[in-house]
Amino acid sequence: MTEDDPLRPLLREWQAPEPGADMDERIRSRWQAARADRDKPAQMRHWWRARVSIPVPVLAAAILIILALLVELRPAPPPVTSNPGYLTRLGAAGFQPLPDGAARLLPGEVHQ
Amino acid sequence: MTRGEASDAQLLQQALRGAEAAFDQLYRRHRTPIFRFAWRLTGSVAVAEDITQECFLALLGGARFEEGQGKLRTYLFGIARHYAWKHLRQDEREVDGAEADDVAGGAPDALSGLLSRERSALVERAVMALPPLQREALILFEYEDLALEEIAAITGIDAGAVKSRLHRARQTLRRSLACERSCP
Repeated sequence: MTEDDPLRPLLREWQAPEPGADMDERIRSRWQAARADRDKPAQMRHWWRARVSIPVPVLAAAILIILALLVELRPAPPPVTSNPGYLTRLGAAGFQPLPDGAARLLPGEVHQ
Repeated sequence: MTRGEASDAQLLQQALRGAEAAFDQLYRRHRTPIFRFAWRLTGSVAVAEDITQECFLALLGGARFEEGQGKLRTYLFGIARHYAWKHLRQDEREVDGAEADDVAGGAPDALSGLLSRERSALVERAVMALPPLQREALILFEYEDLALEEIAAITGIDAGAVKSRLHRARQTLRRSLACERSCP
């Protein structure tokens, strides 16, 4: 478009200055600081949004193992021992509390 | 980018993951063009440095670059343009017709530099006097060697409009530079 334009070499006479000596260092340190700031919340979010991919057969096997362990390790019920001692039966039919809370013995039959 | 060198997108991914060397490489690759562009638009070394910084920090922030979007260079120029325009609008409000605040750094030594500096100042005045949209197109095309399509992507217009701005900028420059050289 302007290969042989005589204006071109003249325009090239206008040279740009070099940036200040401290610009590179300043930009590098600003970049590092900004990146560190940006990564802080990202690390926190990472833990909340982390996903673990597990193949279904492995997951099923893991669930079965956990269930088996739960069944196996659950606390055993106390053993039932047959007690050959006396068996007392109390009949509460017809029981009525007295108004003053006192107890009264009624004569009746005693079964043995 | 030569063969075997990592692409910008690869370097950026590594840099975002914390690889300092990747950031350094990316930074070295783009810092000078971005700084030069910002300086030529704003005329201030300090502002151009700030803009360069903002461009790179924007890569970490909300601005997301993906390889499918085009070149990282275009993307960075777009950010630089945004900040430069922001500055120019502020500047317009604050100071009317203020001189550019910087002396060109790295000036060549005395005798050989004298004429060169004079020509440089002449061109600088002429370019800085262009309307900002023409100036921007001219800087990207002439000084940063970007293609019309790339400039169109950065400025958000079509390539035909870029070409038209360049044409008008050149016409204005030819007139003003011819006058500067011949007028007393």
